[in-house]
Amino acid sequence: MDTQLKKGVLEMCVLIQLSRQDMYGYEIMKIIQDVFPDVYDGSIYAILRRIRGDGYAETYMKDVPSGGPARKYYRLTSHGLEYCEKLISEWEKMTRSVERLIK
Amino acid sequence: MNRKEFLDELENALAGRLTESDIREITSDYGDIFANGAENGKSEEDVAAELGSPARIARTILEDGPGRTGREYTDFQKNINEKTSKLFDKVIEPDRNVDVGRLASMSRRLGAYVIDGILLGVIVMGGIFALLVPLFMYSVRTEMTGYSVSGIPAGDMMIHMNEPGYATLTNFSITGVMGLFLLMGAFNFFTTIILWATNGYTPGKYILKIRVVKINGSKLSFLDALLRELVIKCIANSIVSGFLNLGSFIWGCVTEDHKTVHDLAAQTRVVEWDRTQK
Repeated sequence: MDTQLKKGVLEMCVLIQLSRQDMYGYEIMKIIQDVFPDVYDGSIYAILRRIRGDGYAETYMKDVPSGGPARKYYRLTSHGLEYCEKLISEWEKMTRSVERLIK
Repeated sequence: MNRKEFLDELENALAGRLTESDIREITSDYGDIFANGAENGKSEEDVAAELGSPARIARTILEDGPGRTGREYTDFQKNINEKTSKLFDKVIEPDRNVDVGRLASMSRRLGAYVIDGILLGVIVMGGIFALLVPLFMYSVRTEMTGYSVSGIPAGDMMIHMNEPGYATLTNFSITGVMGLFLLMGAFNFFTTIILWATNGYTPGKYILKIRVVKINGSKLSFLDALLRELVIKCIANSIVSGFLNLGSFIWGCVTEDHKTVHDLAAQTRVVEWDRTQK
């Protein structure tokens, strides 16, 4: 897949996951890798850093119930939710257009 | 490669390229990947092998930029970006409405130049005088009190002219020459901006219904206007003490297609232009 397109799509997928519930990096990664098996671990973390750097998400530490080191959870900001909705509507618009061309 | 070796290598590859806190965040993320692997029964070596070379990962992170790829610009920023990208764009479609054959006569062009000189000259000179008057007053006052700025009696000035530090009179004439340069520079800077912003007009040209266009009839780019007005008409002209524009005018009069030096340099021509045309 084209890397630029992939980057954008992956970012949207991560945002969608986070819009449903707060998650930590590995959790998100597993979900994404279920759908896109060829995505390598580092790129998900890079996306998480980016959306945090852009103010779409914030992080907090939470202890693991079973013990072990605390995990870094990601939570979408209101700005991030807005951005996510915008991306989804753009995505739907785009896929509709592309589908019309394919048919 | 174990966890520590992997993280050290990654940190070394990023050191100095990103901020300390960015690097700490990245290594902590990769530390997480190792921790998660361990939970799933993977050894540190397994995880490191899956991740691949730290140097390659570092390269990908750096290519990604400082985490700003998904950035959104405000409308204002978008507008500025668009403007600046157009600023240096020289590929512009020819305007079919412009009849490049209807060349403006040299007398009209001179007339426009005189009108601009009067109109803009008044504005620019006003500004320059506002700057120069305090300077002039200062120099007169020091002469009247008999002492120059350096504390040497003004009468001695001529004697000391050649010595360093006593050349207040020369300084004043330098101020004058610089003022003149400033005047011309400001005048041509104004015409550059106006010419570009109005797609080929100056006030004088507008009144006399002539317009500057590229030789193919298209609008001028900012660089064209800059080259024509500031670089050739002002800077190059100043270097040859004003003879360039005079020679340019005469040359324009005697040649068939009225090409002046600044027209040749910027690949422009001046055409008659009915203002009612769009």
